Amino acid sequence: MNAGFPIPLQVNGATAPLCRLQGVTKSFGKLVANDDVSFSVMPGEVVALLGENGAGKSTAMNVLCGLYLPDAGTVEVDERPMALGSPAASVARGIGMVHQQFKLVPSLTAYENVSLAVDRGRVWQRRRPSDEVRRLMAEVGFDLDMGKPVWRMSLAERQQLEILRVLAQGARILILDEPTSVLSPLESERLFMLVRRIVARGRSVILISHKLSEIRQVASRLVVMRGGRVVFEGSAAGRSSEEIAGLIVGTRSVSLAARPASAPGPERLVVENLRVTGHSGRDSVHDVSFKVRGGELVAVVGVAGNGQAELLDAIGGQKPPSAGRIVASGSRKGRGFAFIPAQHLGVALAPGLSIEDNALLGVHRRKPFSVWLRRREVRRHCGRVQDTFGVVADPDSAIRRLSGGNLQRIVLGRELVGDPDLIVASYPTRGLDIAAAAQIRNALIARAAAGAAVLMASEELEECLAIATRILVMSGGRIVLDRATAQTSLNEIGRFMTAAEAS
Amino acid sequence: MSASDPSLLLLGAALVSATPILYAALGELLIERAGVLNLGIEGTMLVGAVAAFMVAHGTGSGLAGMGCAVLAAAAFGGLFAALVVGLRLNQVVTGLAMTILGSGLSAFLGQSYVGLTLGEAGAASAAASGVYVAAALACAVIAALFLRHTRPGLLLRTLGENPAALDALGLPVVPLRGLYVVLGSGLIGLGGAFISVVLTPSWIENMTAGRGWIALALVIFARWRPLWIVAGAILFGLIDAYRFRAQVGGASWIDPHFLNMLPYVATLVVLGLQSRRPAQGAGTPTLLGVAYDRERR
Repeated sequence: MNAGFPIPLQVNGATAPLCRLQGVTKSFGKLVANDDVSFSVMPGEVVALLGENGAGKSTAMNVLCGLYLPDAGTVEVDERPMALGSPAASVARGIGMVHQQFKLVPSLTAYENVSLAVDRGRVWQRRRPSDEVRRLMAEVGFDLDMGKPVWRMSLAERQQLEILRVLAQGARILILDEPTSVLSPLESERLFMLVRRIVARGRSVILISHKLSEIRQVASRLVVMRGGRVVFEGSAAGRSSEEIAGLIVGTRSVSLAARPASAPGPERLVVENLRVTGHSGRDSVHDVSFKVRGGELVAVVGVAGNGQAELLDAIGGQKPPSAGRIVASGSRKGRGFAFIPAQHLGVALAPGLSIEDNALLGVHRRKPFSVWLRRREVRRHCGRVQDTFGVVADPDSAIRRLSGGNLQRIVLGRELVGDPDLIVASYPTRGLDIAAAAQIRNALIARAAAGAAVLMASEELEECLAIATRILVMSGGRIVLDRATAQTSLNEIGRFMTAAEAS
Repeated sequence: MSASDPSLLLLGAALVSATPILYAALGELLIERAGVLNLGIEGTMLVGAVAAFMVAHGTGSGLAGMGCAVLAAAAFGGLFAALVVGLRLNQVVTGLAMTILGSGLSAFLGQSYVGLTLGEAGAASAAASGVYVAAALACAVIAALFLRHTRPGLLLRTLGENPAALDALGLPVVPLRGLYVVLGSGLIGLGGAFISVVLTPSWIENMTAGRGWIALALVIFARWRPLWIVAGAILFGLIDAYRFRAQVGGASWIDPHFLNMLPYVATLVVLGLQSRRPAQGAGTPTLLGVAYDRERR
């Protein structure tokens, strides 16, 4: 598995690139996702691949691992051309990708998942890991129960398993697509230590991430994409976050409004002893109580899967609580209360309907629409929703064609019409690029400053520290920390996020 | 074995009438585990049945008939695979169309055979029926071992759970799915052939009489596990044998029409019970009925 290729002894100062993309072009219909993309990866380096949503990062990586066949261009590994559009060829040449949506089979055990990748040509299925896999686990420092079915593993464990699998296949170029979005700060720290161990052996890592602090922490080189092209390629050393952000967004300026000054207004949301029971019969939210007042912007944070999403879903009426009370000013129908679910397509939006019809969903009962949808009014309303955040698109086109950023802009534009007093937003900036995320954040800050109560869940702690007036940390379904942002720190939050695991 | 013992006779009759369903359900299991929902079982069985009867009648060999039935049904399955795996057509609509096509095709091919019997070939096959029954049971055991203990079996399970995982590893999703549709269809055809060559050695239009649908229900009933299919098929066979005896004997305290309904009631009850269980870890292929398209965004 690991045999068959020379591991370069000299890591730094190596001159031949491990892998090089040359003139890669790929379009989907009219959309040119990759336009003449060229860059190379040297052995032993961590390349950060940066860019906004839709800049073409994932497309380039899917070309590299053989899932997409490019319209033009070549990929070289060890200075020899690689067959394109064939995952088998990419795997054979040592390219392995840890996708954002893990490619694991939940019903199989951890080892069976690894076995899919490594035990080629066997007839009888092994039950226990081979010595080779065990040696690899020791090398990278993984301690996983290989007999456990994947669906019972935590997200961090699944990620380790995915990395193990890719390495066991003999990957020398490891592509990590937004790996820390499912991890706590401590787990991210461990992942970066692992990344350093991986590259220390002459392998290379391509890291896709939106989090600038972690890029500065581990990346040795930056490749920045914008609009399907590579616009910058250079060393990461000594670059500030602002400088990197500037490279990503280009000439547009991204500014963040200040956090709303806290002048607490009336109580707009009261949650008392709330309990939500999950699929497995276990409580995902345990006896949670808190209040949100007008003018406050409260952020709920925690490691993914600790009840934040379920808490917000219960408040938004998506999941019935099994006990407790939720008192919200205004109702969803009466529109005093805006809810932005975590999933825009399928929950907040109907993918097959037009932008215009989606802009109308939920407000269709109100004047001037009534029973007969007066199309001229609907069109005018859609214009207002699109203009709120500047979405330029044909109102008649199907909404699923929009990018993630634009989808979120439409949802927020629709929900914020009529200036609701209470806004509950589940991961409103998840997966959005810097410019789109800043726009959404600014809108939430502005609403809070205007006296609305805002409750949001987020996985980006820095974002929360920058914009929230108060932070709630959830762990194991409980609120373990409830503190004004000014009186807490990233360290403290990180400690509380992992409190339940440690004890 | 004392041949006169009525309960043993009933069990023997149950095994024989369970066999076509067993073959068909095992074939369907392979196809569904690969992530393809095949609603064309009934049509595939009929194609197998008519092919088997035509060849057995022509050659006088029941075995040749069975062999040709497997080939004909596999070819029929190949058409289905090309449509739903290759061209990614809707599996429900295509499967129903295959049922209708198989029924029409078999009626057309078999029109000059209606009313004929197999004579010698049929008699020889009836004597060999024990072999076919035993082979069906062996198939179930092999399928169970294959799924649980072999690497190809692991790939088959993954095929219905997460084909993208196999694709990312460089394993061929579409050819593998096609292969299992063809293999499974061959087994389904064998089930049909057993009816026209062994069970009632003759050809009648639509002679499978809904057994394909029972097989489909049985796969769900067994939660996609081969040994449970054996148990289910024997249960269905018992009901069938009892019904037959009740009809012939005339004396029954249960209406045979009511008994006809029981397999489906059992399936609904099992489905209802399953709904309470977590889907994870069960044999249910998560992506059953979803065509795999790599560049879908």
